[in-house]
Amino acid sequence: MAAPDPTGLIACPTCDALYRERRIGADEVARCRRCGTVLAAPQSGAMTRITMLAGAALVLMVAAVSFPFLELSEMGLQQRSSVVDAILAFSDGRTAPLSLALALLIVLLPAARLLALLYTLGPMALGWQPWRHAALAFRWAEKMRPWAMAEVFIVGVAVALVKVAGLATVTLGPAFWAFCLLVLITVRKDSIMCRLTVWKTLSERHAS
Amino acid sequence: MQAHGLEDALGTPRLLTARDAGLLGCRACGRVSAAGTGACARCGARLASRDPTSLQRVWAWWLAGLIAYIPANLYPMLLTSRFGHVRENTIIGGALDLAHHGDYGVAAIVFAASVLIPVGKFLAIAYLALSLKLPTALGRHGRHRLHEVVEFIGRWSMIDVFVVAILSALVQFGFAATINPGIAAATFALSVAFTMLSAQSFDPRLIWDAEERDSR
Amino acid sequence: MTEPTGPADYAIEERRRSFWRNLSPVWLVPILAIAVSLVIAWQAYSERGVEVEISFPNAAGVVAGETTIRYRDVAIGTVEKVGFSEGLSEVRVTARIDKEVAPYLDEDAAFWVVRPEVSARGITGLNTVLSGVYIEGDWDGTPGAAKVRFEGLERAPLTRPGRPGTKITLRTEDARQISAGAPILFRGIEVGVLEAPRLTLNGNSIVVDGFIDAPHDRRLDTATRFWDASGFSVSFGAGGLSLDVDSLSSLVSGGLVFDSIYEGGEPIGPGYVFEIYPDEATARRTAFARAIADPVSLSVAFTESVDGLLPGADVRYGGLRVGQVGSISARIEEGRGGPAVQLVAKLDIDPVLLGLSGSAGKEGSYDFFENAVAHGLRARLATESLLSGSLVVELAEVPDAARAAFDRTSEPYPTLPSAPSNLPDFTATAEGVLERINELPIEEVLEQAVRTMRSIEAFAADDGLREVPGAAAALIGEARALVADPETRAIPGEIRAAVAELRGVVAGLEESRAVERLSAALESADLVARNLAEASGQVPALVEELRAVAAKANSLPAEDLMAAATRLLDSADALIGTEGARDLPPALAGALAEIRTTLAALNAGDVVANANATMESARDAADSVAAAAEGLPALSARLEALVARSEALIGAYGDRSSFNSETLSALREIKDAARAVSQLARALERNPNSIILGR
Repeated sequence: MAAPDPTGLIACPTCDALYRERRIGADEVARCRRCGTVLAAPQSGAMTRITMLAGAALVLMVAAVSFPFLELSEMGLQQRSSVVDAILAFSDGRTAPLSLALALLIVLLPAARLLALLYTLGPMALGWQPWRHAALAFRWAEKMRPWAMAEVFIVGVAVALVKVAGLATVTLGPAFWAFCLLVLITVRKDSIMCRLTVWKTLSERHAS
Repeated sequence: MQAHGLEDALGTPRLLTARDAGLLGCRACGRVSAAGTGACARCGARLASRDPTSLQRVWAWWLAGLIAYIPANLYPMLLTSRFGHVRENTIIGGALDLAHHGDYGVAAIVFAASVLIPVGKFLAIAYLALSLKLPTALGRHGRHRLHEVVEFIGRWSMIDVFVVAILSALVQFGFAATINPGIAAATFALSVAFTMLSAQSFDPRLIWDAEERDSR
Repeated sequence: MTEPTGPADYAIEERRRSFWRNLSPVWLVPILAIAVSLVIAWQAYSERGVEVEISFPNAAGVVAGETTIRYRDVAIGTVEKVGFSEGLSEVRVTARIDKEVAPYLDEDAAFWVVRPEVSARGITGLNTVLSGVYIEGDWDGTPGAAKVRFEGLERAPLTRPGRPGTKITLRTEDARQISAGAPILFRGIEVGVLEAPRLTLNGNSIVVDGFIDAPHDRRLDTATRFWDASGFSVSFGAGGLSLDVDSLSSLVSGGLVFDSIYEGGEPIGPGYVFEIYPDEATARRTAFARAIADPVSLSVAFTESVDGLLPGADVRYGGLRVGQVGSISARIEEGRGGPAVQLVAKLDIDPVLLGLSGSAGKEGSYDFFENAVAHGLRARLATESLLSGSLVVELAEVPDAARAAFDRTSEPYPTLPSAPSNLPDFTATAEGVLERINELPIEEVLEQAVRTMRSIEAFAADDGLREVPGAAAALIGEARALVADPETRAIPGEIRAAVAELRGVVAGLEESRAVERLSAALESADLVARNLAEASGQVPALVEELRAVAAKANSLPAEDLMAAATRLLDSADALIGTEGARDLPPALAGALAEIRTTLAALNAGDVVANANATMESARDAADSVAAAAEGLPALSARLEALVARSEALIGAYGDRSSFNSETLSALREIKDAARAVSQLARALERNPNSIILGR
């Protein structure tokens, strides 16, 4: 069987089913017929919104890292800790490499991912030509996606608060709220982002 | 979801796959390239019709994760020191402690997050990998969903490690009460990372390939 | 079958791909993980500690997997298992001890459980309230034949193994004054410690082990005497009234004092047992006892009554005791007026105390006596003191004595000639004595006593002392603040320091010992009073003279003395009644309550259990206080009896002179004190916890 012309075709990344590309409306969702994977779900103005959300998230990340995160007080004892303290909790002894891993998972990878998205989508949102290596940046942003665990961290904080709440009074610092907001924004941003559309736009703009 | 139901009822439609067409589909961006292309022209990802080492990598990471999971359970996760009295909490010990104090809810969460989910993940990945070769009870859609769930849930096991980190950073009251992380926190994190890699190494297209082979 | 028609094409197959080429490098990860795990497991196994077994009568608070074994407050192991020995007679604790330490665990290793303990003696192990109990071990720094089974001690040994010094054994008849941990003093400095007294197997004496720290143990030799330092002593004799206030401080703490009472003692060997003497005077009186092993025995015949001369009575030479009366017997001597009864006393003389060198031997001593008798040395009876009827033998040079010779050939002992005593001339002597009393510096003595009282009073009234309870309360406040201080790593040390200070205060609560000592002191006072009564009964004529003395004493600052004593009592009372003192127990209870709530807040069940254990031990302490309180009615009864006797005695003097009335009012105050004591006893009976817990 001779291979057909690959242009104008897309393959489902999950089950390899081959589809002809069609134009998808702004409120429509393209789904794989076999496995149900969402292939594309473009939204109007998504680029601009993603860019703005990523920018906001980046600012919040800076705030979350630099402000006090939680404050525990009991019997006049006070303990203030920042996100950095949580990361450095493992810095003693044999668990030291875990500090680095935590720094990556909580702060560095999410921040890097935001930067990569801004790098890729920022120019496109403004209608410019994509910058050099934009494709590379976006591919890495997608690869980092499972490893950026900011939202997992927030749930971890919630569990820890439940554990500690019975023992002492916990005051939530500004960084905590910044982090929560950051997580919400990240989730919103990821939900409106359509990979296929980004890739298509990227290659179209690049070609033009 | 409704579409699914329909398809399931009617039987999944037979579709042409990129491999059948002699083409390569990019898993990152969906672009289809001619056979023999090394890297995707759009996104630059490495192309392979099916990754030949996928299963091997699944098993290797799976084994590594399992090995790291053993010390994670044997060694203390938390070192709690209260008024000079040091207590070592292992994962299961911590959950049992909570249950003893009547915090059944929290105990259940901790137990689920640190015991049930990791063990379930190991079982699920092993099942998915084995199901490619052996007859299974679960259909392709079921296994596809299982893979999605495993991939989604993998990172949430990190909660435990984060809880330890926050508690250690927060509860530093000197003599009165101090919490320090134990070595198990590191091996547990390693185990989670390994199982995540294992799940990522699994090529879901293999599930559907098996279907075609079966139905042919 | 067809014949081959030509060469066939050989089969071309795809090359089988090497298994290894197909292998993913990811397999290195699990292999590495296995390798690391194995290395760690092997390390953990090879560095595993040595398992030892320690038996305890009970193991309250010892938890498997949590309780640590400590050496010099450093954790060196953990308890792994708590079980029973065969027959359930003991608790067997299995523990793992660090490898580096294990070789030192030999015969001298001792283990005991450190628990919080609140006793009348003080508070110890307070840090374990919070941290839970731990097992403390101690041994010396030389590795020996390693053991793995040990008998745990019930409580911490008072002397740690490996501490430089000498272990001694002391013997006593009465162990009421001795308790475990009491200090051994040398010239007022604590140089050792006593263990708990124990009965010997035959039960007729009590043996106490003690420990003297190096370098003070060099002072131990056969010339060393130990005596009880507890209680204050009042003695009234020809030398005047003497109140040994110095030992008042040890009324509370108790203890033994030792000193060398003569030069040239020999080093003690193993198994040497020291005697405990009731007081310093008795101890010093034994100076000659060392040479009694090699005495020079002489016999003396007395023609007069030896009523009052007992075996063991002193033999004095120039007022110095040089020996003792060995035995007294009667024998018939043929004289000019027919057979006459002679009373013969055997004297054991210590030649060394006479100043003769030990090497001179018996013959040398006989030579000395022969020469001395030629110069008028005679033995005669003398009274021991003004007020006692007992007699001693006095060796004195009587200038106008009848000629006599030292008969060194007589059997069984050489005979020393005797001279008539001046005993019958008793009144004259008494008068002389009274004259001497008159000349005695009574004013100075009394003044000194007043000064002493004043200084005691000043001490008691001292703001500093008054502030002690307040300071203790403040200490607790500080301790409380410390718990609330983020820099609380040092808290166990500080609590210990605070407890050390508290202990001083709590020692004041040590009713049991104090009561006992007070009784002992009162007993001796009682004895003096009784002696006085006897003396006054025997010699009514003395009363006149005494009255004269009393008149003189009247003009002395006796009022001052009494007033000072009263003020002392008042201020002591005020001290006890101060707000601070009253606040102390509630503050302590408050601190404990606070700690308890803290612990509850921290949701630490076992810690609360520990606190409860502490409360329990506090309750035990309270019980022991209550037990001591049972002795209080006896004390007050004795006080009352003493007062009654004294009143009767003073009443016998007739006139209600101002001396008498002063004395009587003082006695009445003592009576009041007795009543207060019995009230305290009743209060304690009702609620023994009140002293410890303050509620």
